[in-house]
Amino acid sequence: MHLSSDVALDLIEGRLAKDEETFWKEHLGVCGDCVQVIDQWGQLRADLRRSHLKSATAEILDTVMEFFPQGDEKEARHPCVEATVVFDTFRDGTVANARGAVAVARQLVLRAEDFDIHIKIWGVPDHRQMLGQLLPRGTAKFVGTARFHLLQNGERLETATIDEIGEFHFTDLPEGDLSLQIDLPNLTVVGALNVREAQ
Amino acid sequence: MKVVEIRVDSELVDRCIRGDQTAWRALVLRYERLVYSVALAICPDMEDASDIFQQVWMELYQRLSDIRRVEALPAWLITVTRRHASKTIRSRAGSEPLDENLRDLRQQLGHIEREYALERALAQLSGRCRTLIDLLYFNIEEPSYAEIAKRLGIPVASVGPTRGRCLEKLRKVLG
Repeated sequence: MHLSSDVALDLIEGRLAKDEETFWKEHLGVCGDCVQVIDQWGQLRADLRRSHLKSATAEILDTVMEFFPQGDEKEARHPCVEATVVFDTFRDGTVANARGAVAVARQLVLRAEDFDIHIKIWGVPDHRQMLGQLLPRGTAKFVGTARFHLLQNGERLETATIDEIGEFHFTDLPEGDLSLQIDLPNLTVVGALNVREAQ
Repeated sequence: MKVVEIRVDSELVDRCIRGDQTAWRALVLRYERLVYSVALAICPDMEDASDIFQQVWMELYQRLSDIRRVEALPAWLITVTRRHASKTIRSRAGSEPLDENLRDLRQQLGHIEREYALERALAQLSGRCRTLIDLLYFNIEEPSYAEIAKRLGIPVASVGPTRGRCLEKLRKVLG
């Protein structure tokens, strides 16, 4: 016979009848499993006490909320632009009709504002991968901070962050129409992709 | 940090980066008690704690895009709060904390982290479980099982087992 959660909690909280309490305390002297049960529940019960966390004043909270610019001002500083495909090996005939084209990597270049996004998609269906690189035009420096989201039908599938050389990587790409969203500090770029076999 | 919490934070950070002010407000409200409590633990003066609190959120606002691992956001906030609080203490003449104070402080900060984790875990339970746990363990009136049963509209004999189920759910959320 071992302690159930309810009896363990009753024992910890002193809700058992005297003889029951005595029985279980003697049992704990010889049962390691029940000692573990008591320890686990005991720790949780010890944590369940009135919180000592404190809230900042409403005034200070309002000040902090205002660090973030309101609507129009932020919108003006943070536009969303669409990237266009300026090169695609599937479209531009580089791999079309090539023998063994099914597993050949597809290379694309998207362009938006001052950025080029180089993308390589390869692999077999259900196991395709995307390796991309975000390159600002007119400078040799890589972009410091950016987050990349892969979306399908408006649902976010995966998120990646930029590395030191501007690259990002997604795995297990589904087939069909996808969106690549790039969150930069002052700009959001969205590009449409269609993941499919070469035709 | 549990998967669902990471997902919520990840979406809030992303929306903040895209300029969503409501996401910023949600992020601040989500973590303000953690940041303020840590600030107050290190600098008990409320004015100092308020200054530190603002400095921490300003730094987060400026470095949102640098947050690579959203699951580390709570730890990041604590670290940044401690850094700003230490600067404040050092700026006060001759007030380097003694070793014993550092040990007490580490213990206190550990309590704060655990209490915050518990708060977040409780927020993920059903309303019924939250109400029961609040009545059992946080209510200063310390109602009896009979009073709790009446308030929840359940038989007295169900209070114990319901307690067990709710605490089991809480334990799972806490991980």
